[in-house]
Amino acid sequence: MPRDDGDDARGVIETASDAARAKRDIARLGYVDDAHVEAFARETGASGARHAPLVHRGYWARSTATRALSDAFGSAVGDGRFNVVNVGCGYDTIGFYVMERWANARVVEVDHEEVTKERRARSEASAGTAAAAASEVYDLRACDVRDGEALARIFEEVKLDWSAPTLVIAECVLAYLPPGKSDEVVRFFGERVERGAFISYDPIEPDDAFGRQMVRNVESRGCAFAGIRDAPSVAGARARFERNAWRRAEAYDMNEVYARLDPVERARIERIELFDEFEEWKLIMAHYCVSVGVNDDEGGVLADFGLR
Amino acid sequence: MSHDAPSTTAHAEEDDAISVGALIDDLKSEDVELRLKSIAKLGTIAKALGAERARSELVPFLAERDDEDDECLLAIAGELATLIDAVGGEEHVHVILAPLETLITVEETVVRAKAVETACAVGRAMTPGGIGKYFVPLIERLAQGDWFTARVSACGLFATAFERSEESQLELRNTLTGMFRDLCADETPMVRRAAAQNLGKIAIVSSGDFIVNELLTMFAALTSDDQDSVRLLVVEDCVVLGKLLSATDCANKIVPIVLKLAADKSWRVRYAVAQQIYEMCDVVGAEVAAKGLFDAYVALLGDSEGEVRISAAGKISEFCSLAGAVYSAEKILPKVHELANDSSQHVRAALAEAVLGLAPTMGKDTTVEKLLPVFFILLKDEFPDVRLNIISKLEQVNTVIGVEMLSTELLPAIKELAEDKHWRVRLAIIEYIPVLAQQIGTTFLFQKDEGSDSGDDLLNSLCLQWLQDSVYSIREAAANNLFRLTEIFGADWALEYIFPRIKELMSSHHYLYRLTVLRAVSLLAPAVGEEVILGEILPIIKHATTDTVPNVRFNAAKALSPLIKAIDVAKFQSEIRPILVGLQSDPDADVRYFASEVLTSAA
Amino acid sequence: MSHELDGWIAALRKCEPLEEDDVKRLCQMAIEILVEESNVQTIDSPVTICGDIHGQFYDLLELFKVGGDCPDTNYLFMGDFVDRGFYSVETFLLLLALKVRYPDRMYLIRGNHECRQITQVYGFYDECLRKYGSVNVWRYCTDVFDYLSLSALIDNKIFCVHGGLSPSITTIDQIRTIDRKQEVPHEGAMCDLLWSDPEDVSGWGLSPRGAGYLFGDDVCTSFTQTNSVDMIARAHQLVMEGYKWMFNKRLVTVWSAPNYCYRCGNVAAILELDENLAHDFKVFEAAPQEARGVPAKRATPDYFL
Repeated sequence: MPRDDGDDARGVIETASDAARAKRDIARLGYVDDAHVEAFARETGASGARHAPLVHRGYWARSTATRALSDAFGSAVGDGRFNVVNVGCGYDTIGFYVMERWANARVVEVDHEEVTKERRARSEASAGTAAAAASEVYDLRACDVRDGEALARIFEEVKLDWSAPTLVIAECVLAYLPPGKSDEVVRFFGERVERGAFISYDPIEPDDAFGRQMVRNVESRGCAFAGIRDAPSVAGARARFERNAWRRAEAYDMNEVYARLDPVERARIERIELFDEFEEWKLIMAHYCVSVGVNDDEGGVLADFGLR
Repeated sequence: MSHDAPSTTAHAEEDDAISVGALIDDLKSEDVELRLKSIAKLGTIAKALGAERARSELVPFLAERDDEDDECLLAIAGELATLIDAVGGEEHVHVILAPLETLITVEETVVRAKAVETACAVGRAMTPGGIGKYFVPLIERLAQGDWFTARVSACGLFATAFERSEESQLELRNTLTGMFRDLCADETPMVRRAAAQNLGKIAIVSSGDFIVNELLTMFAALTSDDQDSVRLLVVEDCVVLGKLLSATDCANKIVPIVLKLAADKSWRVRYAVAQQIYEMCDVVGAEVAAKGLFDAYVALLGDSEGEVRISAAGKISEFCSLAGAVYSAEKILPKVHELANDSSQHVRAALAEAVLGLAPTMGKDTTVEKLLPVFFILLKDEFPDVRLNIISKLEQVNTVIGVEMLSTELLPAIKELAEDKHWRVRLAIIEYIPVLAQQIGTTFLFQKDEGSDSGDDLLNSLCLQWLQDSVYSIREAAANNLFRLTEIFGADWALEYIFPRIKELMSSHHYLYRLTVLRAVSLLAPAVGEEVILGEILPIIKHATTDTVPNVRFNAAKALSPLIKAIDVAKFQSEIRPILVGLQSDPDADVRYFASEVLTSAA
Repeated sequence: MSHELDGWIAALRKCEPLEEDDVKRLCQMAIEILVEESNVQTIDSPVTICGDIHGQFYDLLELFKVGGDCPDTNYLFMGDFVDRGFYSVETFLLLLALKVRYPDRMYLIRGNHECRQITQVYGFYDECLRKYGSVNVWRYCTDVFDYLSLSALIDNKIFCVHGGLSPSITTIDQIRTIDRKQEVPHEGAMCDLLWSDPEDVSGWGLSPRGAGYLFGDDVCTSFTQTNSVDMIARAHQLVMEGYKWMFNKRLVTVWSAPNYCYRCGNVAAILELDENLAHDFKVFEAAPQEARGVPAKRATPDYFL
């Protein structure tokens, strides 16, 4: 259903808290190492019941894939300064992760004003997180990503150097945008990033039985996947990059992504919790995808960048 | 006002000391369950302690400790209300505000809301003087809070402060008004939302002058808020304020705002208007509503957002009866046709649910000419809920156009729906059959079914087919349907048409279908009289008591029960009792049980 | 006794949980009946076979609307009554009360979720704690789990089990010798019966579940031949169409939780066997929204957001 005229995306904003809580839980359970997530996830007890192991494993797969891609990007581009732009950052800690790994990284995170205010306030809860947020290579800016002009202004304000290699990250962002908008966002960066990549994580396949139910359920939470049909499949997600100023693109559903993650790590996290959700696991993972767009000269440093 | 009651014996004092000590230990426990249990005892313990100790020991302890678990915080926020009667009356009740003040600013919304609720209860128990001395200063501190949660909570306290203070406390009231005005213009949308939510509540406890002079200006600012989530809350306030104002003020000051919001750029605001606009029209009356509100409603019926159309379509019959036949025919009917072909199944379902209610307003001719075609479109809709909604409301149309006409028009559609693949649609049709039958007699049941290969009549192709439906609930309803038809047409009719046909079904190879026959005959028994019972029904049941499947045998026993009530005692002794006695030595325990049960209840 | 039971059944049909003391007594009564049942419970046709329910109480009511009420219709439920859904307590207690009231009309066999360990991860434990404020009800119910039969044999022709076969089991008689009155072990025949899955493999394969095995067509064929049964009916795996034939119709999976976890969008099925073992699948959808309790906003299923 079109959501083109709402000027407040409260449902979508609440998803940031929900995701933060799941990410905090997986850190506590030992799935991932994340020093910052505690500061961001304030919700406890009465806010909701414990997530099922499937959700933990899925969040682990998503954050591990994004971290692996950002590491691959850092090693590929070498010693010079590179940018990481996290669009619709919510309470993600990926920006801090990159800063702590790569001294040459410059991070800009962008989200809706209500989220950035809250994010800023929450980062004060931990000294380490507050320090990371105060770093001179870090910027957090409020902006509606649907507004291209506002987005452009922000990158001028922070003096982002588009000539440096740039990695754009959008985790669960594009699908929430009104139909057609995700193309504009992807193109916005495609036209500016000379050398770099765009990683997107999105729900797909809205038209089979599971997908129809998924679309209905998230809609009833007030955070509809309004733009899911912009890229309704793995092929569609790849095509979105190809038609919007990215020279090369690849995409995989999360079953495929999971199979490509480090087998040792996979074996480790599979032992953390009892797991009896195999059919659903396959189903839900088939309904999410990681897609990557790359802009680089042929034979350039990013020639091999992607999920290997 | 009650005096503090000192403990009368040393023994009781000792008990109290133990319980308050234990309570405090439990409240500090690591175990959340234990903490929750002790929180639930706060009210009881406060009463046992007596007012003075409750104030001097318990309340300060509660104000100082802080719990990390939201569930405990929520429990405390609620339980503090039980202290209102335990701290020594209206002079002292304000002490409870201290522990509430921290809870009122926590992050968890549920806890905050509960704490505000309790604080208002405390406020209502205070004197006007106390309100000025303790309650308003609390609001002041919250309204100046750095963290938005405090300011959101502050908004929830104003109505109580206005209600409990007196008109003469002019300065106090000015302070409150000023603070609330600031909150309406707060930089955080969440706070403005809370202000919008509470504006109506303040209006309810205020004078008309105050509403017109003060609240309406704040209100006007909120209606142009840049956040749609604020504007949509304003919509509900419109109705609340409308009811409180004079008709003229309402027409001049509120209606224009509703019209503006009805054309808001955010669909969620328009949705809220669609939800409220009928009530708004009702408040101002048809004459005022005709100057703009009706047209705004018609526009919402054609809104670009499905959710808005759903909401608007649901109100269509109330609207038409308010707007009258002429306006409805001219402006609303064309929209009805559009909505019946809407691309969203949910819109069509909402229309189907409401559209039959238009018939009384439109009258017979317009209904036949304009509405019937819409019904047929919806009856054939691909989405089962749409079909279901129409069928279950068909009765509303009978009275307007006469059931005969309706049935001629409807029969083909009914036959199709009788075989619908969604069993709830079939169920709705079955339940409609006796209504049709009652009003137009048996003839329609014996119309040749053109669609049937065997040239069966409707009775056979529908009513009896349903007895063999694959869904249990349909078979049950089919049995019940035969009973209702027999009630209408009498025993002779049943004897001639029903019995010969259901007897055949008793030879089914499937036990569940044989059970349906037993169900049908036991339902029919009270409607047919002793002769038919003994001549037709009893032989069927008797045969079933020798069935190979125990489920059929014990259902046969159960089916005898209604027969017993309908026949003569002597006949029971000679015809039925021996059967039941025989079943009491059946190899199956359930057969024995039900046979004995029926025998016992007969005796 | 039956009057009291009828009262409990009436309350449970309305989704009203029983008092803790009543649960305790119901569970004691159930154990007295279940202890007499064999590991391979013999059942006469006609009977309707059902798969996983997983606490989806309102969908269980829907199942009864389609298949018929107990005791009119005979039922075999092949385990996984609890976990995942919001109403494991009411679901399990209703089935159990029907079992106690009509032991010859209602048969329950154990699923892999009828187990202390799994229920602590997948919801039944938390639900008991939430609804009763203590875990006593969970204790009573899990004690009953230990007595549930492991499999059923209908007219000596249809073998029914929650999961599947085990490499340690060749003949049905071997199942009869298992000491089942215990928590489900992590390995061995009893574990395999509750955890294994049929798969397109030859012979036996490792299960991704970490318990039980994958078994192929050849294993199924040799089991059915050795034991002269026509087919195996089992549950355990979500199938989007409600039921799924495999291995040349020698095995069928029956799944009875529609829109599983309120998330999967699947239909459910039950397998109706008449007195001549003729079979008929009844496929059904989730109960309509208005037939359910109030859907809490917070209760919307999890996705990655």
